[in-house]
Amino acid sequence: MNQNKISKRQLKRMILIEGFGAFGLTIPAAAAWNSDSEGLMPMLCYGIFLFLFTAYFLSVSEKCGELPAFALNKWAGGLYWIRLFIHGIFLFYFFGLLIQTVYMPDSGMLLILLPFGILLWYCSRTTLQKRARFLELMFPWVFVLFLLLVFFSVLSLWGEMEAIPWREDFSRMLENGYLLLLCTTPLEFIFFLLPSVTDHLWTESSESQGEEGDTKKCVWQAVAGVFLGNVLLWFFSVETLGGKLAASSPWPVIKLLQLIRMPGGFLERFDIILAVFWILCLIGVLSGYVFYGQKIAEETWGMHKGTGFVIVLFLIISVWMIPANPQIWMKRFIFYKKWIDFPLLLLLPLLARRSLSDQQKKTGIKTMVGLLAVIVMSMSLSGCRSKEDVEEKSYILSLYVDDYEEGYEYWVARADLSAMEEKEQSIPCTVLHLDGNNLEEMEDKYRKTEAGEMEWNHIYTIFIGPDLIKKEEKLEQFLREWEASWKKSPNVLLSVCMQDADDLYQLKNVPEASAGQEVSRLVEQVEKEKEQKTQSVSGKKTDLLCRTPIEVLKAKEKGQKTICLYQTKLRRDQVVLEEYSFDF
Amino acid sequence: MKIFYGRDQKINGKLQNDFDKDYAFLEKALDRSGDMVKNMFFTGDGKTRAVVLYVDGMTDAQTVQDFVIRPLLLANLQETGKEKKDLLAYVENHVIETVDWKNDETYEEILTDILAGNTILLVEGCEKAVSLSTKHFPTRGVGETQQEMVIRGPKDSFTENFRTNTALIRRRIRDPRLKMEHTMVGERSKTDLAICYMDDLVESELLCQVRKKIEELSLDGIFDGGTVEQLMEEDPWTPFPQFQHTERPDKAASGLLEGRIVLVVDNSPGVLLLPVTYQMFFQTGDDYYTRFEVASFARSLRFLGALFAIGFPGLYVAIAGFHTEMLPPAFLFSIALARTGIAIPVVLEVLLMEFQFEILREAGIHIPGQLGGTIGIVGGLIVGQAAVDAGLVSTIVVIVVSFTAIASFMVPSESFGAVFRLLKFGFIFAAAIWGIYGYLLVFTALLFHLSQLESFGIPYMLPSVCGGDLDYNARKDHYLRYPYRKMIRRPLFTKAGRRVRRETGKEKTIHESK
Repeated sequence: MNQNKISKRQLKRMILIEGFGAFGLTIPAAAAWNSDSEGLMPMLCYGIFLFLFTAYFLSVSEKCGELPAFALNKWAGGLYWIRLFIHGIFLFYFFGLLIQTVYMPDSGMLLILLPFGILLWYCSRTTLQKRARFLELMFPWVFVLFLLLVFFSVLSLWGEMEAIPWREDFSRMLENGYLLLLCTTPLEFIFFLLPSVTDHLWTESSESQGEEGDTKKCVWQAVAGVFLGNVLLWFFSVETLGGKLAASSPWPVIKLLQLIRMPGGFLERFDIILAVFWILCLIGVLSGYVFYGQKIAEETWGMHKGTGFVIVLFLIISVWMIPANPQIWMKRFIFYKKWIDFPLLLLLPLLARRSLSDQQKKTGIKTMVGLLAVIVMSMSLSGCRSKEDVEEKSYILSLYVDDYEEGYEYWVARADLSAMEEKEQSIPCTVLHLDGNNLEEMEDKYRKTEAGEMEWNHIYTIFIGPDLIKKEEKLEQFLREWEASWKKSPNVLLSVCMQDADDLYQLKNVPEASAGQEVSRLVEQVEKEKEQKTQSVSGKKTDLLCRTPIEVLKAKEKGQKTICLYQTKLRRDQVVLEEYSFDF
Repeated sequence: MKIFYGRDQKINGKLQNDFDKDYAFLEKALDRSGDMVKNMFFTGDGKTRAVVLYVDGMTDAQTVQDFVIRPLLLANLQETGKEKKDLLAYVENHVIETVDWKNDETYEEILTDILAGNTILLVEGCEKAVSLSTKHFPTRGVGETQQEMVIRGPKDSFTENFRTNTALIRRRIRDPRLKMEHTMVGERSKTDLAICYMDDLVESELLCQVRKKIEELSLDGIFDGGTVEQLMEEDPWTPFPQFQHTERPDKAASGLLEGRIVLVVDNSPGVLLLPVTYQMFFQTGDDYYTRFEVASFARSLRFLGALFAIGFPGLYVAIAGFHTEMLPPAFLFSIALARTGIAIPVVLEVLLMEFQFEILREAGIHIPGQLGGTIGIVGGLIVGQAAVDAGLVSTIVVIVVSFTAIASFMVPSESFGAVFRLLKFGFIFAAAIWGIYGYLLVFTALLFHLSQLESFGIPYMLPSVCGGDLDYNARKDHYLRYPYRKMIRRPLFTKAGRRVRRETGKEKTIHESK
């Protein structure tokens, strides 16, 4: 089997993963950034740019004929190498930042990136054919998870989709379209991949080239797939979060995933599982940067021993040394991409194949398994650090928040597992009264007084007190703080409560302080009844009630002046629900 | 007289055409061997000496007595007046009454034949020795397969006897194009090995590669196919088997009909098939003898079982330790309640139960007879229950580990299933340190590793990789098994141009009209 050739299907899958993977989670933000059409017009513009970009690379690759894929002249090779390295650093950093912020806030960047770096090094020790096989194997997992994302997004948006405005400033459309194109520049790998396509994978002949028309068709299909995938991510994010909220987050798709709930409640939140599609894609892209960099080093300068290892080592060191100010680095990277990288990206393929010098090909990379084993073993020891187990956490099930001097007053209802009896519908809670200028300060105070890490993902209800509901600014500040946090459930029910927190949590006939759970259950019941009455006729929700913090913020951004929430009332020691409207 | 062994552990020298010297040499080489029979006698003329040499217990002494010694005792060799060369031919063609014999010239050949159970006849005045096939080993008969049981289909399995094994294959394919090339491996053990293949279906490049690798095999003793497998595999650092081991003659025969090569190794109650792809480890005999719907369902269950076997405990550790937000409150709190009072962290709890299961499994194999199974069940139940009662582990972990154990036995190949049990620990450790993120990294590393593996030039993950360029009905015998009528083509590793398994009606008509 020819180890330097790939089949057409492999080409298609490689382009799809490498083109889609790099910035898939950020695409909606890039599209909707300051856009009047919530990103619709920039997306269309991006489609045109993508078409031109692909056509350009196809024509350049065609001119290069059957030259070896990675044999470049020394200057161009050097520039390519620097570009790939800079991209590698930023993607690596970007990836680590996301994992740390969203999923592992307690872990250091090095602990997160070191295993990933080792994986990248491992993935670089291969041939083009074997790399193609790797991406081919990853593809079904990426595809199925992406399909699930689309399916559940459609399900949660069913009957709630809104038309997107068509108005847009022309310069904004071009700028955002260009930004979107920059997100998919790994498509430049077409330049390396096209000369390697063959119809005769099983023969050693290096001359066997794929039929040109078919190969081009494959490229177009793959690029169309990348475009469609990005459009879908943008569409669902914007429909769920609204244009402004989508643009305000670096990873709006993660927010979208967090809002998806599995029908039947089998899983409370499964964003990490769905996000795997992007992590797999990113592994594909980053390992591509390392692999292509290594191949260029091998074929352009004859360097071979340990190139992959050195690249990965530098990646880890560079990222480790970046000071923790992601926004500045992101801005610099975008500037570099816009003004330096993209022009180079277009020019280099034209210069790269000229005046090729003879290369000495050498193979083989000395393994450093012993060293890695020591690193991994020492990492494993850190796994035994004092980590809280499932029964040791503080599960917050409801929160009552009200205005208090300059800040807020909080009543936190925490699950009391010791008082819980089996098969009980509601879980008894203990209530703690705290105050603070914001949630973070309150959490600090909580940590000082109570054992167990606060777990906000299973919270049922947030009660807004009578004073806070009247203070528009403070309420918005609270809701924004909640929305910006990645570790707090975005699906929490928001309810107004005019009664005191003490009265609410001393409700009789239910387990202690379980009012939040009772209200949430009652809302579900009410909604079901409503659904039966209204949806059977129109198939669309008719009320303007907001249920979650995101829905309130979205309504405000759309210019809705009056916001309607559920109000919790107590009548003869019974919880009663009503609607409550207020100006926001 | 000195005996010299070469670097290849072979005795140097050949017969010197001097009966006394040759016999003395053989006696010296075989001295202090109590199981040797050296029977010298005079032929019918009373002057010509002859000697038979064989190993007691490995040779059919009655055959030697009736068909070799007795005729020689009656034959008058001196009266024939023949030259040395003609005398040997006379003895072979007119005196001894066996059908299977050959001439040996070197000491190495003679001694190897004796030790392989043959009888050596040395006649004074003959220039070569006669090796008579009189093997009669103490072996067990063809029994039922122990590892690859089926509900429907043949139940016989290979035995330790080399010849029985080749016969079991030959019995299934009555085609002269089935070839069995015999050779010996192991410098001291001199184990018989047969390379079996269909002459018209095997890819000649593959066959040459196998021959070359077998020639290069170098080890003093080879006692089972497992050793051959490890010496011949391309990547010694992977836990995944690169050969398919089977106890079932029907599986070996069907492999031959797909252009694969079968290696039969003496003393091994199974044969090796190559090349191999991962999906072959999920196929069982049942798949092909039952209806395709049922077979496909069972096969998909096996793939699912394999996923559970490798990843379920790791997933539990990741969710319980890092991603509790995934679980619905009711389920989460029931886990938390079950864990209340348990001192050790989740990962240690899972490891404890996993090791307990592995220990019981290992002990079950080595405990004699039926006690093994009983101890396994009793151990599992009692120790598991006691651990829960003592507050060492929670009930949920017992469920997770038991389910994983059952799932791991769904993989029909023992050597492949063992890898799953091993890799499971990698997932648990990664999940304990990095949660689902670590779990995913290990999973990706595994995918990468699998994508790099090849078995004699064939990608291990075929047909999941190199798709679109496969000249065979890859999907029709992969996760699902299609009806036989639809499985028209043989796999990719069959010789090009010979990949049509059965003629369809259309092809038949064309053929007949020609």
